[in-house]
Amino acid sequence: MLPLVVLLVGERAWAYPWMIRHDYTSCATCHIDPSGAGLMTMYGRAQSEILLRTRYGTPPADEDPSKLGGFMFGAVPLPEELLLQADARSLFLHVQPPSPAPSVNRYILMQADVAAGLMIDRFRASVSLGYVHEGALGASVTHGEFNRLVSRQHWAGVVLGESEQFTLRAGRMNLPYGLRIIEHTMWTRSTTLTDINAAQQHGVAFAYVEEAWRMEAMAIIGNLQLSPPELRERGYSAYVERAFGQSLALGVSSLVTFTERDLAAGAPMFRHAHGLFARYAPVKPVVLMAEGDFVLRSPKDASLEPGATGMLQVDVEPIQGVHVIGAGELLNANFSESGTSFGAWAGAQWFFAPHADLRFDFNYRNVPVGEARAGVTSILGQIHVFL
Amino acid sequence: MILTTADEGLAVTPHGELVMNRSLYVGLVASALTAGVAFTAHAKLSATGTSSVEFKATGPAGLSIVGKSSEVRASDTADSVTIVVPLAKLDTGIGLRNDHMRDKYLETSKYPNAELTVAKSAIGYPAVGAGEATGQLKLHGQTKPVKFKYEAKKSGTGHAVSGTVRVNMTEFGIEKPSYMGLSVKPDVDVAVTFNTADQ
Repeated sequence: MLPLVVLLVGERAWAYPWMIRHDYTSCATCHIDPSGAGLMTMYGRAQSEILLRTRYGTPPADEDPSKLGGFMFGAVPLPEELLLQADARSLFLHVQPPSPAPSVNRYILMQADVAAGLMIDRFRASVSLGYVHEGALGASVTHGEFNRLVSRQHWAGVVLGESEQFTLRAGRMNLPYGLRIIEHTMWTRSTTLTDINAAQQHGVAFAYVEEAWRMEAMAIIGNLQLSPPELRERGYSAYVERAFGQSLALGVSSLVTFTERDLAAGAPMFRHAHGLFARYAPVKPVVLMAEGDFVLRSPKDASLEPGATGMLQVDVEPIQGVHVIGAGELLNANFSESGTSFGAWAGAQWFFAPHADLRFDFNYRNVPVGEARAGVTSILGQIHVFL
Repeated sequence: MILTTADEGLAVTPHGELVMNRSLYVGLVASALTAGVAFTAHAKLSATGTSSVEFKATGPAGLSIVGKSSEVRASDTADSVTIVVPLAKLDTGIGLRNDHMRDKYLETSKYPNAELTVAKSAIGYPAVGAGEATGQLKLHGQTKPVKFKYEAKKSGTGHAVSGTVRVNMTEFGIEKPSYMGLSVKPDVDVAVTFNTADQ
């Protein structure tokens, strides 16, 4: 049961592709990462105060969201060049596996991270350091099964171009691929190994973001926090997204990596993922997000393992700050005869106060196990605060 | 904005103003742009259907701000057409951003409208079609010449008209908007569409 629990927990960094409902088709205005997620810019902090959380009553005429949304609620003014952020997230988890296995109830400190960024003229840098009790092994910078330090990102680079539309950076970064969603256990993320929990890798990335287009391509040299070195992947990961108007964006992703020794296969392995993704806000309260990926594992001296995964998620925000979320997902990692796994998510998230949100999720997954099928039900409740 | 056209055969009340809620009317212009439509000395036009005014401002890192309105006033004189956009009606989708736009940058309490005045001769009235012309744009209390593109098509009993113009806001004395380290470019693209009906 431990692997399942570990799979379900772990940090869920900020990344809200449904911000397209507010005409934000790109992510780079609010995050120091040009492809989004994680450490917010000053502008992003202000937008979180203006757009994300529930507002109670009419805001005062002299309201300045940049202060309340700022670091430590504005109590500690920072120079424009410096970004600081601290995140803490707690989880109550209930997992009901197939009978006769017992249910699991756990309280977990999912995230305790601090992050810093520099934006000095055209120079950019970002680093995060956190504590985890368990999980996030790929991001560990200390040894041991429990109570480790993790660094999910650390990179430096420059922005180029008249509109700062180009970013060239090197270090450990999120892999540019597909929808950068916070549900890092969703199969589109976990199967392609492109989640924002601990799947970052080291390499060099080039991003372009301007008006209707955003793209990023990364040359992967491997997760240097992973030992021994033959386990590390090398290759590329990339996406291109085009916005059509302010409420529709379509993208394509591609990833190919090679490792001398795949952990699962114990042999050299090429890994492919190629897919399409879309975001669409037909009306402001509703955002549809979809992704489909073809995946292929090609171990040396063994047969190819082609498969596919896909998801469709709808995010409805009837009142500012209150989100009702539903999603369905499919996975057939090797087109096996045993069948396709499917999952359903239902949840709600409430950004109820400055710098704070609650989230509740119900998740059901049905997977083939040999000739039979097994269903696993999970209930998650979280509280997240940041400074 | 209104494109009113007035030629010798089109008599409209001097300084008369057609007020259109949720409709951008370029009545006389549309008529003026209508090929084969012969205006009589007492021809009248009225607004119909939907209209829109939309501006798009861009900035670094893919920042894109779109403001929209569907409320426009139109008027004409004997030799020119004027389109008036009440700026306080522009909506960017975010309340606080609207407040900043209106109060800090456009200063709509002092300068409530954007007005584009075009000589009828500049748009080849009464021909229909597409083209580029120069008009006088009054914005933020300053009047400057601007080039705009337009297209007019016959539509039912009236005309469907569209136009675009790029406005450099700093040339009109508007401070370049900046917020939390992000500044938009001074060039703003404006697009207008409207329909008219001939009477």
